[in-house]
Amino acid sequence: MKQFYAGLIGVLMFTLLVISCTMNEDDSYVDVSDASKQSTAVVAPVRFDLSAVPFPKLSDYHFFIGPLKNLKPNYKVLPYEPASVLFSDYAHKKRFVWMPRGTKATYNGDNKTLELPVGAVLIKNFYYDRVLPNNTTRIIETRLMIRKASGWIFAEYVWNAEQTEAYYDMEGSFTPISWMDENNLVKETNYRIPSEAQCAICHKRKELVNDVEVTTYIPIGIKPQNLNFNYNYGNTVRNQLNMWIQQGYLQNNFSLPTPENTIIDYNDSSKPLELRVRSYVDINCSHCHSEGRHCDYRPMRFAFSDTGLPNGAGRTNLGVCVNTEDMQGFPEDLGTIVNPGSTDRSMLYYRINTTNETFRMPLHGRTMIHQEGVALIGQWINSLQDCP
Amino acid sequence: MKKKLPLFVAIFSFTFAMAQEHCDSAITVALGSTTTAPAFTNEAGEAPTQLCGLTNPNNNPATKGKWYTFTATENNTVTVSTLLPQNNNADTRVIVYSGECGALTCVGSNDDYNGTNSSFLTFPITTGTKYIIAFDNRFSQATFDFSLTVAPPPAEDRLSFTVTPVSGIAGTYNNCIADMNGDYRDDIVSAVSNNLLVIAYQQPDGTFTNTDFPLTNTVVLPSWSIAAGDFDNNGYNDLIYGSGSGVTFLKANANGTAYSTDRKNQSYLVQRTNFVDINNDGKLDAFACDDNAPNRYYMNDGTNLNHIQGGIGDFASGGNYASLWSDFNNDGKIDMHLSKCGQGGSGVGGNINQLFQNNGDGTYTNIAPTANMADPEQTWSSAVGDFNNDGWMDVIVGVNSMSNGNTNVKRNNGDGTFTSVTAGSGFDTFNYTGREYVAEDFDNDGFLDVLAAGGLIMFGDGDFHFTPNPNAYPLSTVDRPMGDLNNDGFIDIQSGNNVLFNDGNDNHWIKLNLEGVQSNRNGIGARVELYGAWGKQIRDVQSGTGFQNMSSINPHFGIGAETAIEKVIIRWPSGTVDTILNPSSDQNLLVVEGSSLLAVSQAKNGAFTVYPNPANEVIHVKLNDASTIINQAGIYDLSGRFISSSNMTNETIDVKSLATGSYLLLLKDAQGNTYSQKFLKK
Repeated sequence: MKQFYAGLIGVLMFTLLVISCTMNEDDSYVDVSDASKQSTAVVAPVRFDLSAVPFPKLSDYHFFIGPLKNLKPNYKVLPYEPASVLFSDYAHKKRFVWMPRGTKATYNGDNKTLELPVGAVLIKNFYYDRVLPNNTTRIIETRLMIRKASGWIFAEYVWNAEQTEAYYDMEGSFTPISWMDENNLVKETNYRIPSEAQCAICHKRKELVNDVEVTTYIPIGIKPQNLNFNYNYGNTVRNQLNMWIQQGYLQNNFSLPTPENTIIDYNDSSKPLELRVRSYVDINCSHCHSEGRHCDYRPMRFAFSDTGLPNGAGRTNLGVCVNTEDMQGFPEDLGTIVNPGSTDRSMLYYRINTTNETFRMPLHGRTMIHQEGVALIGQWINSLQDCP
Repeated sequence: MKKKLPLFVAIFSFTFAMAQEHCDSAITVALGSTTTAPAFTNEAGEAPTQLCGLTNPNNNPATKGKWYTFTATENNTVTVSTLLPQNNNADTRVIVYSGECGALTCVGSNDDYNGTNSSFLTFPITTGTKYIIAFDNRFSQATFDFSLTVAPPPAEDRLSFTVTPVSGIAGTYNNCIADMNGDYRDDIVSAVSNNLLVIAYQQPDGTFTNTDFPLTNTVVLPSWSIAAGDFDNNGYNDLIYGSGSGVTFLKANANGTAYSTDRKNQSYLVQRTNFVDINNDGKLDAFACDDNAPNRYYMNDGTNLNHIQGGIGDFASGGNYASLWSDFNNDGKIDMHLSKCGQGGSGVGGNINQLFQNNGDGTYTNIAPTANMADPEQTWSSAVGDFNNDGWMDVIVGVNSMSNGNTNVKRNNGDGTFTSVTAGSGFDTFNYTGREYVAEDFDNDGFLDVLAAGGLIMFGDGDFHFTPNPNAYPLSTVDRPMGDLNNDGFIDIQSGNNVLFNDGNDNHWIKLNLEGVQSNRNGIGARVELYGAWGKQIRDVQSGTGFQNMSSINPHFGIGAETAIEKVIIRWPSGTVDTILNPSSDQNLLVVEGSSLLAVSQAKNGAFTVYPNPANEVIHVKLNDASTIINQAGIYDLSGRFISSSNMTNETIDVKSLATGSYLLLLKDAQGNTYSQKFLKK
């Protein structure tokens, strides 16, 4: 044990040295460390004790410096974003990753979640801007996923009304919110903060361990295919995978994903329509509709790597001309998941275009209709001519 | 003049071409003809607004219609069809009416016949009746042909239903049939909004009277399931709403004239809900399947329903779809079959069904593996009942996806094990999937049937052979609670705003109206046995069967052509056993717990002693409480058969004439309490 610590300290020191050098040479993503260097005030580093987490309060981790609600990342707390993002009732999100010094993630395939080291933390803040009545920003919750030796755990923190602290709470709850959207329309929802069981719905998978099938929890967003684009870190714009490597957060032993293996921003109307759709359903649907996932007993296979298969197989995985196999309570016109040229006859369109919880998809994580997503899927369905 | 002619021609042809555009100018078509309907493109006709069961996807209605008519000259069956080769699968839909424009009556409708884009509707016609055939442009503007031909008559229904709208059915969540005012007639409950409950009360004359109940905000609606039960034992049923965000209870007040809201703050995706006395303390508890975590239940302490999670179905990531409470091992304690589905691939085990045996101390043990009930299927509900009338509850495991196997018929062997008898059962060739599987004897032939997927009733023959009705019934695939909505002893099915009233047949029946005293008021969990020429039939009293609907609590039996019922035995959860000898058939039989002459009440067995025992000439009765006044005495054999009645003289009963053997002496006091004691005749 002592030897381990000695080694760890050595690694840490070396890492620090490397990083210091790097930072002196390069002014990218250094606002925190710059601030700490330039200020005489001591900034506490991220506090993390694997045996003691999850902590009772979000501030206990020191992930952020200054007033908590500013979400200004501490040293080595690195922002990231997937190219296509999950719709969560129009909530905005700020995501960060942190790993213990000297540890780094390993690459596992373009379409596989990066293998993060024990002690790694993913930090995802959910907030709304222009919240009524006072046109303010309100952070509702911060979801952590923490990699323990035994696997990933969930830690949910709910923000107080004063926006000064967020408290550990795995029970799940609701909070009503209304806000002004980008088009100055008032939107409102009874925002759902998930319980631990609800976290597991999307984050679990079936896995073979020593020939025995077991259920494990995994992050969804941090796949190379999702991170493979230039992200604006403030002082620099850089490919996120390269940034992770440079920060010492990712082993440098793979090539960046090819364009074919890279998810794009589904909002980018300059990109090919089907590529946008595949990117949309990957991040919004594939955590359940993939082999070994929550709802793999239905025929859709929505993962980006599955929908890109050649010779029509990809389209079949998208549900084009595939029987729904589940017609309970639905109009008789909806016998096909995606009916080329006809949103009216496509179960996929119906399911994403309703708020009725016995029919809506995704079932979890949304209560509102994602109008832009529905428009995208509708445009794509109408563009299809034939069965694969 | 020359100038006017083209105009005249234009008007004429315009009128001619447009005749089919309106109902009141509908073009007459002949039986046996094929008609070409012109493209909608240049028309401006009237769209049918009465859709007779069709729906408008995304709420976009059709804008134009085509109207044709014919008048029947004989009683027959006809088919209107666009399923014609020249149409190349043109996308049409058809609605047929009778009556006059402006006051049309639905005859039927069809869209996407048999997986095609075509329409195909067969319906009976009556001499002299005028029929209107309408198409609309909801899906296509193109021209198409349709034919009107005489059809071979449909196969005769084994059992028919008359579809009738009931005006009191309101809102979206109205799938609950239960007696709500204590008269044992089944009523229909509609959870209209967070602030409004509507109950359509069944009247003695078969009509319904509606009452609105304003509510304190229920927060959720029964979007996934609903159940009814009297958890405060006051004679008025209460409700549980199961939603995507937990449950809300509605409790009836002392006279059933208002409901109070008890919203529970646990937020989880609820599937099947039930009222059931989990710890057998005489007070109903509530059970809620959790889709994503161990099951929840709410234990009734007499004042509150207290949330508990864990102990009855603890698979970590849930997959719990239907909790079906029945006594599977005939030990007098209610057990539970848990229908399970999905959850991250079948291999993880979330889809393996479970069978919970009641240990009698408030705990339950999953015995599915040893009972051969650990079926790894995608099950949302199962039909539970004694399908072969051998006195043991069987299970027809339904599937909602065939990815891990099809419907599975499991026979209860009576020795703690089950055997799959699907092969040859009729379910082996039943290629439907669905959420709802419920057992009921719809045709009152004495054999349980299954209300199954595909709009079908699978009629049972008492030996695990099931035959579907030749024609599908017009049933919602999901919302279809059952009950006797006209109190005629034949079970009806509600489907949305309609009730399918069972047309019945010549078979006989009996229904039980139970009132628990020591047991919960509904008698939920009681075992009811019906004896006669058929042998024995059994029912367990349940709240919450199938996946999401609430069907009548009143136990119902069909007895075929028989009219003589030897006896009914009610084995109450308290242990009290009531026996009613020779009840009439075709009646609603009210049984108050412990009130029958033959009631064997464990609590009151110590009320008197008999001596000598064994007896020879007379027996003497010694009452433990001298103030008790006995005014009736009866002697029965141990199978409950009545032997003789007696007036007690000086607390002495003459038994000289009895044959040697064991007997039961039953005494009834002035208050109607009954007491029993066994004795031996030498």
